[in-house]
Amino acid sequence: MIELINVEKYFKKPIRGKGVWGMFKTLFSRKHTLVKAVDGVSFTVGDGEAVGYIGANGAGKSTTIKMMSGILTPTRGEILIDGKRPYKSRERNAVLKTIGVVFGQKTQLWYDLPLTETYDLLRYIYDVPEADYKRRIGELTELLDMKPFMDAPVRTLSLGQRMRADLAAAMLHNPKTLFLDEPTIGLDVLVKRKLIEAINELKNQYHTTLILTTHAMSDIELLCDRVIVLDAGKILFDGSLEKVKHMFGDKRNVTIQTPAPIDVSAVVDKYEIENVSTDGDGLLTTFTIDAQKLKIDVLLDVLLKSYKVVDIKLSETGIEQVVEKIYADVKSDDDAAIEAEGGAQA
Amino acid sequence: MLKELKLYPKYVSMSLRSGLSYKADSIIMMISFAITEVVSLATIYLIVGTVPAIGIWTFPTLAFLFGFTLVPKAIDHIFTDELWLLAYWAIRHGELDIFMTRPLNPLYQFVAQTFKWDGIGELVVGVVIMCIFGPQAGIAWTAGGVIALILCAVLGIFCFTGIKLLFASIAFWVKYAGIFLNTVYDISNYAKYPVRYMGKAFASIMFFVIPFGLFLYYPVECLVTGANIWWAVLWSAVAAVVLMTLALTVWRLGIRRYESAGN
Repeated sequence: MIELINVEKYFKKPIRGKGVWGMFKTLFSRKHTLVKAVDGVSFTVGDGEAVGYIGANGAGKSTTIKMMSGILTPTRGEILIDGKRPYKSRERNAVLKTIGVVFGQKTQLWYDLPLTETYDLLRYIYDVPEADYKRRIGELTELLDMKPFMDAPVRTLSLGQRMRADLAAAMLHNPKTLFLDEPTIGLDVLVKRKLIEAINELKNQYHTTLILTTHAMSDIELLCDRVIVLDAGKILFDGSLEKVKHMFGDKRNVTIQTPAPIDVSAVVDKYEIENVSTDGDGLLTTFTIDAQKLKIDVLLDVLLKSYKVVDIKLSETGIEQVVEKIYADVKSDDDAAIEAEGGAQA
Repeated sequence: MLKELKLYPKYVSMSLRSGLSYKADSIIMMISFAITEVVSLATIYLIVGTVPAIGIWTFPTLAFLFGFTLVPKAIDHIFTDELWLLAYWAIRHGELDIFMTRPLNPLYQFVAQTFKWDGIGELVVGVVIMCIFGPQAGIAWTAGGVIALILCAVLGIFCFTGIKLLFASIAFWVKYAGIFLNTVYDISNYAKYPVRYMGKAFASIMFFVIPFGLFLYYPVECLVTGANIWWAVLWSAVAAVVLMTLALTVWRLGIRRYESAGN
């Protein structure tokens, strides 16, 4: 079980002056700004849960993961992983043996050597018995389809291959909890899909607790049953995936390019369209719909019949839109509550 | 600690094998280190040739001192060269992350990943110079003296590593500590000359503040002047313990405020 109790992480950033003189002054000045990367976060994750930890860039997701995996020490508050604190030197090793970490932007693999070399080193670091190690390597190679590049130096791997290899490295010692910090960053759609499916299979096979940060809503939909939304270091929302879907719906964006600006009122009046925006001197029009209320093929049909369409683009919604929507909802709930309270007092 | 020792050969072999793709690079580095040291010894020869000897410090004696200072420096270089990257790069770029998520001392993991065998060039040059000039250096050699000098060299490695770690760890506070490390290395070069003749203030610094004079110069001075070299062993041991303790404390304080690098 993972417990976070009022966790805060502040970074001090010195205020830098301009020019050479300013730089010199910075050396002796104690002035700094305080950046509250994580500002009072509490939650509990039970064994076997799969949690999507999302938020816009700079919301504090990575900082939280880094605190849970022993890299950063919280400024205040406590993190307990099965009752032990990963940032305490005495408790560190016991905690770290039970977790695995994958960073999308960093590799733990030995750059100039074949994968097997790193795995062998990890076997010793984590004291994995030889029989277990052999069996797991076999299973992971199969599941992540790593045979073709097992003996190639890591530097020659593609990003997708490297991510799979890093995933296997993090799973070698059968961790109870797996932290994934943006594992799909920079991968193309197909590779991303395959990776997510593999993670899903790993999770089911080994009953690993999963904590995942990502920028793609689709990753979360496939993997997680619970979502925690972070904004500016604070938890904005913590609930089931179902609830997020209910709050947000299944949003799609359809963008069409037309030779001249169009009048959208005919379509907007007739069909249930959530939002319309234009761009590129009015030549690009984006329709946002809830796919559960208006079928995407119906909309496409209407658009193609109503306008002269040069180009068309479909896109899913990003985390940013989800966060924005949840933010707006939470905000309006708060305002309503405050108003109600004010009314009662009066 | 046992696990660290047991794993070390594995790290060395991995480091050596991953260096194989850059073999030519390493050999060139090794030769250039050796040449640099030989050239600086030649410089000393030219200088000493034009001025009269200072007391007992004739050219062979100076050369012997020169050779001795290379030994701890070269061995430290072979084992802990990665500390340069700590000062210049790793802390600023969050490169310690992966080591901190594994159940093994992060400092050990970081340092053990590079076994810099090209430092052997320096080591060989140092030992060869000592062997050539030892007999002419005006030293009354005894078995005890040799053992004491070897002990001083071993303790000197720890002193060197301590100083390097201490100054590299400043990077936890300033992000970019390479300049400090460079300066300290420049200062270490003064221990290749008779420190005692460099003025009281500077000599005190070299003996008690950044004690290169204490563990590199002083043992040889004892041998040359016939003083009891076991005092040098004692002082080197004190320096090694103090420097390593200080360095590990600063590292520990630093790692607690390690900030990684943002994604």
